[in-house]
Amino acid sequence: MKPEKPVNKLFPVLYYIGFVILSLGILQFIPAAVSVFYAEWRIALIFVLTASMTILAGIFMILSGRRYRSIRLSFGEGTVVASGAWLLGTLLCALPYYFSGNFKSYLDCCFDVMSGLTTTGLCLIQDMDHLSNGINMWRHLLTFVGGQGMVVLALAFLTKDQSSTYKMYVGEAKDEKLFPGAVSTSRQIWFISMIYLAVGTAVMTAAALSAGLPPDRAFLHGMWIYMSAWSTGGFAPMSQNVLYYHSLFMELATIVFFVIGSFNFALHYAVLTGKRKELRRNIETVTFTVTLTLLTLVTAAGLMRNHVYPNAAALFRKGFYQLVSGHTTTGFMTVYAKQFYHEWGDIALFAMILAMLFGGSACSTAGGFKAMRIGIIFTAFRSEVRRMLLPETRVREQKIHHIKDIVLTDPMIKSAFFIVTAYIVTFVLGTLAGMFAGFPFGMSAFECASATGNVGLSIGVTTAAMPAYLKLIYLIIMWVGRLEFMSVLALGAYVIRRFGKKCG
Amino acid sequence: MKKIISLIAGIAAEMFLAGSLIVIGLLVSAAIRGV
Repeated sequence: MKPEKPVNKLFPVLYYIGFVILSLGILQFIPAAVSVFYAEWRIALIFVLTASMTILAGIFMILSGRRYRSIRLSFGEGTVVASGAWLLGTLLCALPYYFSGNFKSYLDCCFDVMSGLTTTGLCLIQDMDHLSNGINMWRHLLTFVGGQGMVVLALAFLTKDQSSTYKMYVGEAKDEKLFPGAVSTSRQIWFISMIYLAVGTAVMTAAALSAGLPPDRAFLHGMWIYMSAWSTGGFAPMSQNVLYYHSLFMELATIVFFVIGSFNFALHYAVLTGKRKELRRNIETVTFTVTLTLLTLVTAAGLMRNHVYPNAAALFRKGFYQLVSGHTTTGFMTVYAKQFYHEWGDIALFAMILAMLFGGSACSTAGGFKAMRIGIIFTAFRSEVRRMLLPETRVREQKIHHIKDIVLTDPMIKSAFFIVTAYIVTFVLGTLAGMFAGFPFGMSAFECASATGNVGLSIGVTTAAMPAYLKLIYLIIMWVGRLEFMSVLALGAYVIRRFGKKCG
Repeated sequence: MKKIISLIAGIAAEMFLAGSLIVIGLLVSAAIRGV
């Protein structure tokens, strides 16, 4: 009897990546329509061309893997689909940027796409204040889709529930299921996001109108700012970011939406279906409130010490705004980048760096360590101290509350420590790279914390003039930070294994 | 109908929490810098 030929898993991986690529191609018709509406014919043509190329690439991948679609992917392969789709998606989504002529190089285009998809918000685009509406729509659409997740998008609209889909969903650093299936969970995530898109666009349009923008610009700016706020992205249509509007209404409304955007989708689902008490019991909201309060105190004290802002209103609108923007990993700014380094002083910058690294909630649009992991580590730490101080009979099992009471287990603690350690190592290496590029320690650490936590606040390091290798390093940091390391490590191992087989 | 009410109440509750965090920021700013 002939031994059965082992199945080549490259094709099923390509099959699923193809769906993500296809959805990204279809998405490009939205900015194309905006360009047509505003008679930006050149940009519209670019989007039609690049959408066709992306869709064709997606269809080719789906067709090449179609025969193997019934093959079950392992967890490792599912995560390879997620990280591979993010990488290939970035390369293809950068094409409209490249042809638009708004960037100095293709690397800069890829940097901005990765920054958008990972909801970071650092950007290298040129002449931002005079961008076409089509390109602006694409920038904000990328960050909106990236917040929910590219794989989540493809799962929600293009695939059926299969055993492999959950593995891809997990690969995108979303490990919570609102429903038993990954596809129904993805659809629910999009449902929640679309409800908030309607509410948020209305509120932000009103804020933009009150700031003095004409109605059609107010609508576009309102929608774009909302998309960025909800996705904790940080992109804005103007180079001065939120500072451009000089509007307290706009600042307060953005805080509300990016704080909500940084919540766990499982929490949203629980609250929107009637479990409102969850908001004050959930480990993530409790942890976030505590860390935000403590870091607000430190930032305010640091700014006070340097006599940066003359009164409480200015301290709130500048100090608190940047802090909460950093902590939710949004990256909206109401100060100029250089002010951080030249005015804020070391204490406030240190608090900002911590806030950016801590980040928002797990299974949300936010980045960073995540409040869940900080809560788990704190609970484990408290448990260990109790174990040392109290008699054995009085030591109980530790629980955390997230939707339901969960007993804290060693694997959970180990996983939390592993991811946090990976973030810290990435932050240290990235800071070192910044210093090699000639930037002082404070600037390097701030910018790297911003890239690692997918924040987008800039201290002035990220410009088109920075060295290409630093752009590439930040791009990789944003990618691994968003996918929480495992998927990218799995992709690296997968490539090495395949390459090794070919060479061997 | 019940679902829609629950949805609106949920959105209001989330906005209330975000608003509470804003109040924390205001209070800390006022306490440290003075009004």
